[in-house]
Amino acid sequence: MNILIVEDEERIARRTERYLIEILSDRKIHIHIEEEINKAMRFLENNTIDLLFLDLNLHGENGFQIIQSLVSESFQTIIISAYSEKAIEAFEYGVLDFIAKPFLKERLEKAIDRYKNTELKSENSTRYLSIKSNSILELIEVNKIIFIKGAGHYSELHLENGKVELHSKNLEKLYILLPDQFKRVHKSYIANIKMVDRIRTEVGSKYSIQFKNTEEIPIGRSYYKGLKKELIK
Amino acid sequence: MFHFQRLLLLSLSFFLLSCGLDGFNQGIYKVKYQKGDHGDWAAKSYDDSLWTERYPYSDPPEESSIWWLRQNFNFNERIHFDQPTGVAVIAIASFDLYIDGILVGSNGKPGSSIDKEIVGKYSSLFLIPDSLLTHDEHTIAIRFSHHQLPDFYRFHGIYFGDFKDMAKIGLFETSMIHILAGFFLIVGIYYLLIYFIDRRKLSTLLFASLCLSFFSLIIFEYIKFYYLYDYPYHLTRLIIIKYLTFLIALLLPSYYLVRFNMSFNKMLIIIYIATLIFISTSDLSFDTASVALFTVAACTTLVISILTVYHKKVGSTLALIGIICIFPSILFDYDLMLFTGFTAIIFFLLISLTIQAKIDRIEKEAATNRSVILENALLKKNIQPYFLMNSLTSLMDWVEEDPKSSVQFIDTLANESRLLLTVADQTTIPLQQEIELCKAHLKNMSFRKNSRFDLSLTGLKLEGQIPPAILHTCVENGLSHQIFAKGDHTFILHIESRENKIVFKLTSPGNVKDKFERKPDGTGFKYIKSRLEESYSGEWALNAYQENEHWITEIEIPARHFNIEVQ
Repeated sequence: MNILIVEDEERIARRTERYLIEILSDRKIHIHIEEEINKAMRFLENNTIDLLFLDLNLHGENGFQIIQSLVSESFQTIIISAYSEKAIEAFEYGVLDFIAKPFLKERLEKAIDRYKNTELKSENSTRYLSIKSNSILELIEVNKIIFIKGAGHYSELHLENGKVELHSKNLEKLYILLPDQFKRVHKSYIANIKMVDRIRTEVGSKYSIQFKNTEEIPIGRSYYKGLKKELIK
Repeated sequence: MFHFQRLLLLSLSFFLLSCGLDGFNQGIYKVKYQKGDHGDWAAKSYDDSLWTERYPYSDPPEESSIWWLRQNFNFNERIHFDQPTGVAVIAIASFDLYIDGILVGSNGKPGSSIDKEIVGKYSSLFLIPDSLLTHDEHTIAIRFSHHQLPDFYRFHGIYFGDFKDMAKIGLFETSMIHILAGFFLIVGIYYLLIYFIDRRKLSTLLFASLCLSFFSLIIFEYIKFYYLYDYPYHLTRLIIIKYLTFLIALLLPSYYLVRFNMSFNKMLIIIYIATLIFISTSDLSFDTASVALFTVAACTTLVISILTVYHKKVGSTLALIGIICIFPSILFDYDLMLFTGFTAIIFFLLISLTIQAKIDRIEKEAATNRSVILENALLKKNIQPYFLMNSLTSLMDWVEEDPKSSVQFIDTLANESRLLLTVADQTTIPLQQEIELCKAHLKNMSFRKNSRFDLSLTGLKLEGQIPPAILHTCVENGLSHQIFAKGDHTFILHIESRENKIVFKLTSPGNVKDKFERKPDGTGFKYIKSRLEESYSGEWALNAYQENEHWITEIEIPARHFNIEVQ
């Protein structure tokens, strides 16, 4: 597992590194530390990571621009910041977690749990997913997504207006970030329950969801029962 | 001069009558004089054709001795014989008054020398015996002397009228006017108290003096109606009135000049005062001189007032209306309207002053607010996330890894906080204290960044006060917007003088972060600018720029606030 820590105070970076090694003792991890965002960006151009810990001074305006750029990538982003009042806003863009400084080891553990546990949905709602096409950032309102189809390392976002956008995160990674209305209905599909029109049953216990815009996706057999319970609620 | 005085006399008598001094229904002004003293000069039948006829206010009878004056008259239609009829004499003299040879009354007692004379009043009233109230021609004769005031003789006139009316002549007007007098007195005392107790502004003193002068003028002008004074004091009274008029003529334009902060040409001032002195010491009669003085003063004040309006001074329009109100009185009915004109001036000036006071108060509140806001901003530095939360996070690591040194770190944190608290509510602090504050911050950051940050002073050695935490903020900015490799870094504060300003140049020795982060911290600079404006109002400058790889901040402050220690 590759982790990048971006933190300009060495002591704090070393402490985070120490804790992560303890917490993730069950696997092999490689931790790289950068003290400045631009250097970090350059590192990311040439290296792939799984998890990013970013110390952000959210007091200026650049902070949120940086976040929007980073969450479009394939790795999960955890923000560490002294400015805790900006947490809610940060979550709207789809960060995995927001840790306020100063923090205890337990807090870091909780964040790592979120990374490891693909079933744990965030309590806070992501409102936007950002995608980068040709270095241009675009924010997609989560409410406008009908369903998401997994495509290997990527995900296809199928929107209300018929457009399909590609996101760098795979289905599992996106799933943890999305709000409650998004359910895993198939090995390769996440559906926005609010957009569901009806469930169709076909011959041979095949189920499918029909959305309000008449598009259809299949429902995996193992997902069907749980989904029915959810829909009845 | 002669004709003018005659004209003046006529107009004055008109004023007397038109001002509602209705008691004097008939007046005798032209009389015949003879020096000497003979008993039969009182007789109706005495032939006085050789006596010298004179108008009042003409040259006084030379040589003080006993004099007689005589005149023949008939009672006019305004004298009603069924009412008690009185005869009033207004003159500078002690006298015996005869009508048709009968002694009607005495005012004091005339004498051949100063020891022999008993001094009489300036104004006296006698009841005419019924037997004399006929439509025949009568003769009035007055035997008089004025040894107490030999060089100054005035004969105002002999008046007939209803006795009761004449007794209370002018009292109604006097009582009404004293309402205004009370107004001037109270306003004058109030502003005098403000001057001595609250704030010693010259304009306040001038205003108070102006009000009290108006008050005094009313008192001395109208005192003749209720206090019948001995005739010598008439000259004293006239002289006092003249001085008061002169004083008012000085105070009125002065107040307008000082109140509205107008710059004035010293030459013009001298010319003005010279004009006033010239009028005062000239041969003009007291009343003419007064009118002249007031006219000159009013015109000069009007010009000044127009200029203040032109220069858009606060409250100048109201003050202009005030001075315009005085002109009708000068042009028309002088005496009474003069005081109502004064009232108008003071009234409008009061409104103008109240408006001024309100503006001052609002400005003061705004300044206090700004002060409080700045104090808050300074205190907030202490708990700003970047400072506090990061320090605490760093401290966590120190405590876990190196407990002994962590105690040092806590002490350094406490020290910087303590210093910030000490300086928070000051407008300026000693330069030394500010440098201490910077060094405390650098020591803190040394712990956090695991490096050594230091501050070195170069250039002039200064003593003086500067606003709190402005250099501190520059140091903060330098640290947060730059990258520092691990090691020793020295911040350099260079002090030099440029023209009449002192320049504080702070060099941050790190490497400027890429332009992504280079924008100077908005709040930090805002704080510095507010503090500089608070203390130096527009006479300061703040610059930040990059030189080589370093970040430079420059603050300029007027040099007069500092002492340069000579090496």
